[in-house]
Amino acid sequence: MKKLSAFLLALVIVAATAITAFAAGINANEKSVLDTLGKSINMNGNPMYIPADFVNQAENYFNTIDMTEQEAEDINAKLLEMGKFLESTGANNIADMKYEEKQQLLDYGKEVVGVIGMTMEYDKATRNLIIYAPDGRIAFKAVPTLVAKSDGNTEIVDGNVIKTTGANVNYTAIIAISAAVVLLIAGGAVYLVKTKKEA
Amino acid sequence: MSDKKNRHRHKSHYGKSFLILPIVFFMGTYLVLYLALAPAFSIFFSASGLFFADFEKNYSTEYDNIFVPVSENSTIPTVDKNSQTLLDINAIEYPQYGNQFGEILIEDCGVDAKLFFGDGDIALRNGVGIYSGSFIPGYGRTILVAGHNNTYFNGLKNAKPGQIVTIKTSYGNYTYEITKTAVKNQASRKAFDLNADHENLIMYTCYPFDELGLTRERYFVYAKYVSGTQIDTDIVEGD
Repeated sequence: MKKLSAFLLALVIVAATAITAFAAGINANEKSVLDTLGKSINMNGNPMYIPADFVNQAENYFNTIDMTEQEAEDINAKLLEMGKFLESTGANNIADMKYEEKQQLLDYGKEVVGVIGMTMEYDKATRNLIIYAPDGRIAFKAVPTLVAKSDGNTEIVDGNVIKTTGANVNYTAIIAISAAVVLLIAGGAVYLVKTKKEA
Repeated sequence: MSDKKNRHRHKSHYGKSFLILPIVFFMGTYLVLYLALAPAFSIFFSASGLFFADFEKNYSTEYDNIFVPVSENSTIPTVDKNSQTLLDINAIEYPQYGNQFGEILIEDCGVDAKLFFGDGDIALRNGVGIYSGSFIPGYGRTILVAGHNNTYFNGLKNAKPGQIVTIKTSYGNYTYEITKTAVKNQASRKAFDLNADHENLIMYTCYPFDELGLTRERYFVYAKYVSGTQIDTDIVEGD
């Protein structure tokens, strides 16, 4: 009886004090990666930076994972390698780089995010670089670019921050359905005119 | 000679009847349909969107809802730092892209919408969304929220300085006071500062409010932080 009481009491205490712990917060390893992302790259003689909102997206994602020291070391090494490659292109910004150089940059990016099981793809239609979390969720989405100021508030650098928030309609469907309706009306009118003439 | 004239007259009549008039008729009817009937056919447009979309959409689970309103008696673990009580970040479920994690209310404007992390299509179809390059309430940084002007953020047109914005999350409720409104170009980076080191709320929608189609301007509503427990964002030790 004593054992049972003790067991029940222990259960009650555990239940009362249980706090759900999530993999939240930025640890020292994640902080070191964020610091690397905040460093400047010498692009054709000018210090260039990753925009603030790109780094913010990384910080938000890091708040949902726990990065190990080894992962952080690997990512930082690959980021530095990527930075040196960018500097070696002699371009002013990513948009000025040759197609082959952009492809190589994409490969570097895939290696970086692959360290923590993420995948990366470039959407040619929207010109967005999209990074997916291991579960397929979007973790990062932006038009890849660099900015001149470290605060990232330079005018017009990424058209992806402010979204299209107008009337939420599917214009392709509107055009297709409207055209079909108009053709139906026109067909009906022709039929009526013909039958009237014949009569 | 008169035969030639008749043939010419017949040809011009043919061109008028079978070329110009149908084009005018098509354009006129299309315009009427577009302006007057588009809202009534919205259900069919949505359904047909399934066939016209150039990518596969996943409708099995539109989004994950992690929002559980905070009850009066609930206690969320806090830490005391520099005579400040902060929320323990390990005790809150940090939202992932696409999660509904709260609600946003502006009583004076009639705004009452689900709040998502991420401002993708699904989020904006079901509520309003925080840009993932900005931060969640309580993080002490900029919160940039987007919403459609014909649905959840239509009420922003009534926004005035002094009105209170409430954001409810699973880890606490936050209030902000509207300080100003402004119309700015969508490409202007000076409309927002995503590097700010203080908590501030920026909401926006397309402008003008009743315009159909794409617009270049956005209606921004700026608000300052008033209350709500801040999250401890210091580096987590021991990892």
